[in-house]
Amino acid sequence: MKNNNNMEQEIEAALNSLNNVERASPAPYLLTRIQARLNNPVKNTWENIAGFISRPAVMVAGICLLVIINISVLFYKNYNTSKITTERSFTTAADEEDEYNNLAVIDNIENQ
Amino acid sequence: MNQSEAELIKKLQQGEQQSFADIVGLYQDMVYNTVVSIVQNELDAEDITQEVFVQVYQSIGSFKGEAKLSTWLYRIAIAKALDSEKKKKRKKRFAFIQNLFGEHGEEQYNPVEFNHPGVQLENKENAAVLFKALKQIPDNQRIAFTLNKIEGLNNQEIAAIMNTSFYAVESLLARAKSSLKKSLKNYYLQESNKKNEHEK
Repeated sequence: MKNNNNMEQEIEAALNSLNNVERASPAPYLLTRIQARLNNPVKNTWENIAGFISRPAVMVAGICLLVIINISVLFYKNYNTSKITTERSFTTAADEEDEYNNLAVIDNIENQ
Repeated sequence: MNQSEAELIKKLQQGEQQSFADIVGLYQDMVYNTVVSIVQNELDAEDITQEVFVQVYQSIGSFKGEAKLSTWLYRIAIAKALDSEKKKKRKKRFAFIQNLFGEHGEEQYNPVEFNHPGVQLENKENAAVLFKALKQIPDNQRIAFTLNKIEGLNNQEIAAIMNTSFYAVESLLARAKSSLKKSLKNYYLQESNKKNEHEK
C-alpha cells in the first residue's frame, strides 16, 4: 500500500516536472548558419536518388520484384519446353502412322 | 494574423532579406524548443531548426496567410522533427544489421537520457523520466502533450496546428496523460524490482 502511494506520488511528480519549463534556445548565430545553408544546398539530385533507393522499403520491394521476375521467367520457360515436347511427340506419332500407311499401299501395289 | 506579421511576410515575399532575419529572430526559440522536445537531442534539433527556416525561405511564396505564421512554423517544425525521427529509426535498423555482421553501429543511435535545457534544476530527474515515457506514446498524443506542456499552448491553438477540433485535442491530451501514467508506472515498477534484486 505504502509502495503504491509512493509510486503514485512519483508518477505525479514526473507528470508535473514540466510545469514552469522555460523555452530552450538554439546556439548563437543561427541566422548565419541558415544563410550558409541557403547558399550551399546540402544535397544534389543524385544524392536524393541514392537516398531514395537505399530506403529499406524500396530495397525490399526491389528484391521482391527481382525474385518474382526470375520465378515467372523460370515458369514460362518450363511451360514452353513441355509444350514443344508434347507437340514433337504428336508429330512423331503422326509421321509413323503416315509411314505405316505408305508401306501398306506399296505392299498392296506389289501384291497386285 | 496581426499587422506587423502580415507586413513581415509581404516583405519576405518581395525578397527583402531583413524581414527573413526578423522572422528567424522572432521565432527561432519557438521552433527550436518544439523540435528539441520532440527529437530529444540538441544537435539534431539545431539541424532541424535550420531546415525549418530554409523551408520557410524557399516556400514563403506559397504561404497564403490563411493561418498564423506561428501556426505554419509549428506545422513545418513538427513535420520535420517526426520525419527526422523516422530517418533515425531507419538508421538504427541498419545499424542493427551492421551489428549482426560484427560492425559496431548501434551504439551511436542509442539515445542517452535527455535533459531539456529549460527544465528547473529540482525537476531534472523527473523530467528525464517523463521524456523517456513520452517516446513510448503515439505521435499525435505526444505532439499535443508537448505543445500544451512545453510550449504552453491552449487547446484552440493546438487544434489549429494539428488541423483538428478543440474536442479532439482535449481527448488527445487526456489519452496522452493516461498513456504516460501507464508507461511511468511500468518504469517505476521495473526500477523498484531492480532495487529489490540489488538489495538481495
